[in-house]
Amino acid sequence: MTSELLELSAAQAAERVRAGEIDAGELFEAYRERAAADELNAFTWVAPEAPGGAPAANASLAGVPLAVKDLFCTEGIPSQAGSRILEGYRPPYTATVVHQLQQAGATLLGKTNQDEFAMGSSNENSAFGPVLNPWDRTRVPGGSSGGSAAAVAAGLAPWAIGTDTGGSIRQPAALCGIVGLKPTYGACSRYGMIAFASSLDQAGPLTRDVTDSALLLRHMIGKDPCDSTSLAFPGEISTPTATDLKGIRLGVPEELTGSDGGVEPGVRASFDRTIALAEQLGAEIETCRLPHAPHALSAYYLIAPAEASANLARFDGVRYGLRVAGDGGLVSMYEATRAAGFGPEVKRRIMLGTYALSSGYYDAYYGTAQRVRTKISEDFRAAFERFDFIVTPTSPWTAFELGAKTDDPLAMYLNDFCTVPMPLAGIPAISIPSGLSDGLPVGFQLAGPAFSESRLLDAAFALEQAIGFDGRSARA
Amino acid sequence: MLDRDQVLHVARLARLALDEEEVERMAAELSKVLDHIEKISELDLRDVPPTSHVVDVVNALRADEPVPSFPAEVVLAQAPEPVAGGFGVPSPGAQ
Amino acid sequence: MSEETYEPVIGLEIHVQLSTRTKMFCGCELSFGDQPNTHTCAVCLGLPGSLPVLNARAVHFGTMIGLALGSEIAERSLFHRKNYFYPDLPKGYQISQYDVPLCRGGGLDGIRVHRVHLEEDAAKL
Repeated sequence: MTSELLELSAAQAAERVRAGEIDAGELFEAYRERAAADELNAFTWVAPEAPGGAPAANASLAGVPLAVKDLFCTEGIPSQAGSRILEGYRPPYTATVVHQLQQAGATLLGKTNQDEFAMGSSNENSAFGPVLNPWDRTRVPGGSSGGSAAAVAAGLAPWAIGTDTGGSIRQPAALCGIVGLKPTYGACSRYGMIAFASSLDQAGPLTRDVTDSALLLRHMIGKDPCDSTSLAFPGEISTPTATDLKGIRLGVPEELTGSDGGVEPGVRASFDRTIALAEQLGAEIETCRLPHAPHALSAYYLIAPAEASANLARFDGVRYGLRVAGDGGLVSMYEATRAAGFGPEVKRRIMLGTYALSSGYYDAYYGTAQRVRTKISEDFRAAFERFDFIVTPTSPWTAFELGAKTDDPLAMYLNDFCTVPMPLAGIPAISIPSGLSDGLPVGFQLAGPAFSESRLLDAAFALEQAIGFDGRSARA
Repeated sequence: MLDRDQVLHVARLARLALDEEEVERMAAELSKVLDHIEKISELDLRDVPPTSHVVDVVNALRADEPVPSFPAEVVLAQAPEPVAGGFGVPSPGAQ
Repeated sequence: MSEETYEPVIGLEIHVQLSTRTKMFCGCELSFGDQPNTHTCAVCLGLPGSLPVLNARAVHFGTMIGLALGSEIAERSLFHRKNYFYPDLPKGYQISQYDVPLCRGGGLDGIRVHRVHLEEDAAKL
C-alpha cells in the first residue's frame, strides 16, 4: 500500500485525500519514514511526527506533505539557510509563501539542505554537508536547492519548494531529473525568505511533473503587504492541458546553446532531440539572438554578491545566531563571528560584493552591471515580439562528481550561464527533464515573458507528455 | 589585480577576519573572477539607464497604524548575551 | 593671512523625528519610557527574511516639510542602503536616501536648504 501511495503525484494524492480514498496521516507517515531514513543528506530537519487533525475538506493541497528549503523561515523550526552562523536558529515567524501553502492544506514534512545562503550550484557549500544525487551518489544534485531537488527525485517528498536567484531551482531540477520553475519576479512573496540577492531571489516549486508544478505555484503567488516588491499576479495559474505546440514559436538563442562547445555533447544531443520533438508537436523553431546574454554571468556575479554583501551584514553576532567573542571589543567580535560562521564561498561573495560597491568602484562594477541588466531585459523583450518562448539547455552539463569543481570558483560559476539571464530580466522559466545522457538526467529550459506562467506550463506539459521521461529508477 | 592591501581593506569593510592563507587565496580567486567579469566594461553602455527593478512597483506604502510587536521574551530568546532586557555587546570602545 | 581671506560656510544636518504613530518601515508603535524590546518586530530587529514597508504618513510629512520650505518635490524618489556595522543598526545598513531624495532645494529666512530626505534612524542606542 505504501509503495502505491508513494507513486502518486502530489496532485493525485491531494485528489484522493479529498475524495476520502486515502488518509492524509498515512500519506504523511509514509513520506516521513522515508525522509527520516534519508541517505542523501537532503534534509536538515524532518518532522518528528505527523501533524494532528485532518485537513479541511476542501483544501486544495489536502494534507500532501511538503519539503521546504531551509532558508524559508518556519516558526519554531530550525531555519539555517545551510549556514553555521544560523545553526539552530528558530525564527519567531513563518515565511508568507509557506504560510499560504499551509493554509491551502500542505503539511511541513521537513526542511531541506542547501548551499549556504543560496550561494552555489552543487550543494557542496552547505555547513551541514553535501547532498548526494539520487541518480548517482558520487555526484552532486546541483544547487543551491540541492536538498529539495534530491528529495523530490528520490521520492523522499512528493514535492518541495526552493528559491532561484541565478538558477538555484532550475539547475538542480535538471541535474536530478525533475521539474523546477522560477516565477516572474514579484509573483511570490519574499517575506520570510532569508535573502541572498533581493532583486533576483524568487520562491518556486520543485516537483515530479508539470501538473504538480502548476498546482503548487497556484498557491504560492500573491501580493503580500509585507513585501514591497510583490505584485498581484494577473489571472490565475491554470492547470496545464496542452497536447500539442501548434502555433507556438520557439526561439533558440545561439548565445546560450553552446555552438561554441560550452555545452556538453550529450546535453546538446538531448536538447536537439527535444527541439525535433517540439517541431513534431507543431512548434515553429527558429534561432534568435540575445546579444547581451554572454555578459549575463558577469553582470550576475556583480549584482548578486553586491546585494548579498548588504543582506548578510545583519549576521553580526548581536541579536541571534552564532557569536564568537574575538580577542577584544566589538569589531573583533564581528570579525571573529563572521569568519567562523560563514563558509568560503559566502566569504568570497561578500568580499566580491563589498568591493563592487566600495567607493571608487561602484560605477565601474555595480553601476555597469545594472546597465548590462537593462540590455539583457531589452534583448528578451525584443525576442518575445517574435517568439512565444526562448528555449535552452538548463545546465551545460549533467551532474558532475562531488569535488570536481570545488577548487575553481570560476568553473563553478559557469554552471549558471544558461540560467542567469532570466532572473536578471525578471522573467519566468521552467526546466523539465528531457532525457538521460550516460545515465544522468538532462534538463530542457523554456523561458517566457513576465506573467506567462500559465502558457509556459502548458507548453512544458505538452512537451513533457511527448518526452515521457521516467524518473522512477531514482525513487527506488 | 587585487593586491593584499585591497583584500585587507575590503575584509575590514565587511567585518571579516581572514588569516594569511585566506588573504592570499582570496586575492588570487577574486582577481581571477574580476578579470572575467571586467569584460563588461568593454560594452558600449552610454545612455543606458541602470535597472534595479525589472518589474516596476511604485508607492508600496503602509498605513501608519500600529500592529502587534513581539513580546520581549521572544525578541531575546536567541540573543547571544541578553542583559537586562537588552542585547549585550562588547564595548565599541575596546578593540 | 588676514581675516578677510576666509569665509565661514556652515552646514547643518538636522535629524527630525516625525510624529508618526509607527516606525518608518514597520508597524511597531512608537512609544517612550516602555521597557526595551517591547515594541520590536522581525523588520526592525533585522531578523533573517524580514522586509521593510514604507510608512505612508512619513512620506506625507516629508512632503509637507518640503512644501513648507519651498523645495522641489521629486516626482520619483528612491531609497538606498547605507552600509556600516554598529550594534544599533540591526540590518548592518541604514535605509536612507542617496541621490534621489524626496525634496531638493528651498530655504527659510535666507538660509538655503540643500535637500530633505527620509530615512530610518535608531534614535537611541
